[in-house]
Amino acid sequence: MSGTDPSPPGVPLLEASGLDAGYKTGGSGARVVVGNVNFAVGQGDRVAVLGANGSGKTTLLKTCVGLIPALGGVSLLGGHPVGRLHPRQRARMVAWVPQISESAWPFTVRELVAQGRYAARGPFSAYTGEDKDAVNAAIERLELEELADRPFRQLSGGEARRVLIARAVAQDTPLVALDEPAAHLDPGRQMELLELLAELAAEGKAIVVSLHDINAARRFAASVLLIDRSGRAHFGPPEDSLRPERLEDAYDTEFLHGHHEGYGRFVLPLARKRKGAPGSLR
Amino acid sequence: MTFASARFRKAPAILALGAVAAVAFVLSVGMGAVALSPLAVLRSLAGLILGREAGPEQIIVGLRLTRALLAAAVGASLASSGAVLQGLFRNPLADPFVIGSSSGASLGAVLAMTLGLGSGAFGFTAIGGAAFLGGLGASVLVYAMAGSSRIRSDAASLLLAGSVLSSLLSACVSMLLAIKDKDLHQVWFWLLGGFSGRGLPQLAAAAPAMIVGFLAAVGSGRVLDVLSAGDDEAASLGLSPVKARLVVGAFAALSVSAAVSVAGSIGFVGLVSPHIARRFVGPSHGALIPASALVGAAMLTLADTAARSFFAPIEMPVGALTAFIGAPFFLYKLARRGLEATR
Repeated sequence: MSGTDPSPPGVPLLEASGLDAGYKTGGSGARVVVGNVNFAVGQGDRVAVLGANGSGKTTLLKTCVGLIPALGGVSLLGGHPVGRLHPRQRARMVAWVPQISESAWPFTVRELVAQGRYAARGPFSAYTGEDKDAVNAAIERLELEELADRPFRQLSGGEARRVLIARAVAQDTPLVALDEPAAHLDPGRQMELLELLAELAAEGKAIVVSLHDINAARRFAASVLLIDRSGRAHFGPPEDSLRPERLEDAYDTEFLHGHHEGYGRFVLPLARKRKGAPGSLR
Repeated sequence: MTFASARFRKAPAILALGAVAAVAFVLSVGMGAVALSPLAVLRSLAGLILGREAGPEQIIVGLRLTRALLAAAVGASLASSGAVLQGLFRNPLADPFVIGSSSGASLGAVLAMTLGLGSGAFGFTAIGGAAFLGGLGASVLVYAMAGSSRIRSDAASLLLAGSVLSSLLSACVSMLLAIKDKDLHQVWFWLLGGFSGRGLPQLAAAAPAMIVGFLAAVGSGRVLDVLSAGDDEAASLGLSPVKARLVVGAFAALSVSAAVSVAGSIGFVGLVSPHIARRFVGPSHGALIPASALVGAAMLTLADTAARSFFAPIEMPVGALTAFIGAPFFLYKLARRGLEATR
């Protein structure tokens, strides 16, 4: 995988500037989980968001795409503050792939993928040939033909993930944000997923994806945004964001850092830093 | 396989439900103190429509026709609103009464009866008019609470607010009845719901709201589909969930209030029809809402026929009979196939 960094002309697809992501607590209070985030994403970019459990990866992603209001700073989609965009305008610029989707009703895979066309067509206009083609193409792209008429709820975790990505593909946006799409996937499925995301990026889509697997992130992403334990975000090329001391601090864990001639650098988690003596697993 | 082919399988199902509703309608017109054969009914109906004399049955058919139309319209309104509200709240337990319309309408009607209000306007009887306003008023109240607080942020709180408000309004009805107990009998029968003594004027008064409500329900199909996976996902797909609940819910309230103003509070139809319809056409609301309306129309027409003929000359309250016949059947199906089974 090449580490090129295609920078598009003009305005970035997504730009966070001094962005504070977090939650409003009861009353007028608010809790910033990740503060003062600055980064920009352009056409074809591959960005991985890393950080420990509870570090705020999901919160940050949701804030960037406008599903949670920013507590400070601003997230711009195509130069527009995301909070001021109409939901349909926003949904034509960025597709969101949640970790799980729990529909109240047993929709079929095809029906669920077709919901990706809402942004393009709106509540009343009949679906056109263009919509049908987009849905069929997305279903083929994710190899869901066999499952197309099965209820979404009956699918395995990996299959369900593919359906949600298909819906995002049908939504046909220049930017796709995914919340830990590799969670609970076996190594083979995980590689398959990342290869697919890399393909989408090669076609010009910008991909912002939160991941747990540091090695996978390093292989996939041209840029990494690492959230440390104090809620600071470090954005840059992997060799910078994933420096040994940064990683150790973000995950509170000692890593073995290795290098493979063909694949480059990799890490192996060795021991938790605080709890237990180092090397207690040995 | 395309959308078209997926939808195509739904069209015959809807047609079949339409046929069932039509048969129920003809049976309903035929049954009663003077029984008429389906053929005689159809002949008289044709006569009525074409403006031709078709024998003495025509008078009976004319009378029963109004009543069957009322039952079908109320059943369709309650059932389609039920489907809308279940979709809106993402909850299979939601029914037309969760946003307070039913208890509000009841309170309105009871107030009119206990205050001895006179005859009404615009085709509404005083009681029907008060029920209509009461139903709308209660829904406005639920939404006002929702708009002014954190309730607006999620479906479950709105649902809970509606249920609690319903309890409050029901408590008002009980207290009114305790004070004005001479009206008890009249109020009791109104609360049970039914079509005796209602005719064309009531239907004509309620029809515009019912039609507008039904068209809005059919129009909100795609919005309800998108809303089904939760507010975050709906927003990410391009929908504003808060706005959708407000607008779509307002039309549902209109439709329910109109239905309750005609027939009193008839339960069960609005809760169960969407579940039956889902088995035929699946969960997509574009097909589900018309299918629910047909199921509701058939169910209430049959129930009303049974209510006025099985125990004649005593007339059973149709609301009670709907549940009496429908509930065991529904429970049986539920036990055998579960809620999940569709088609």
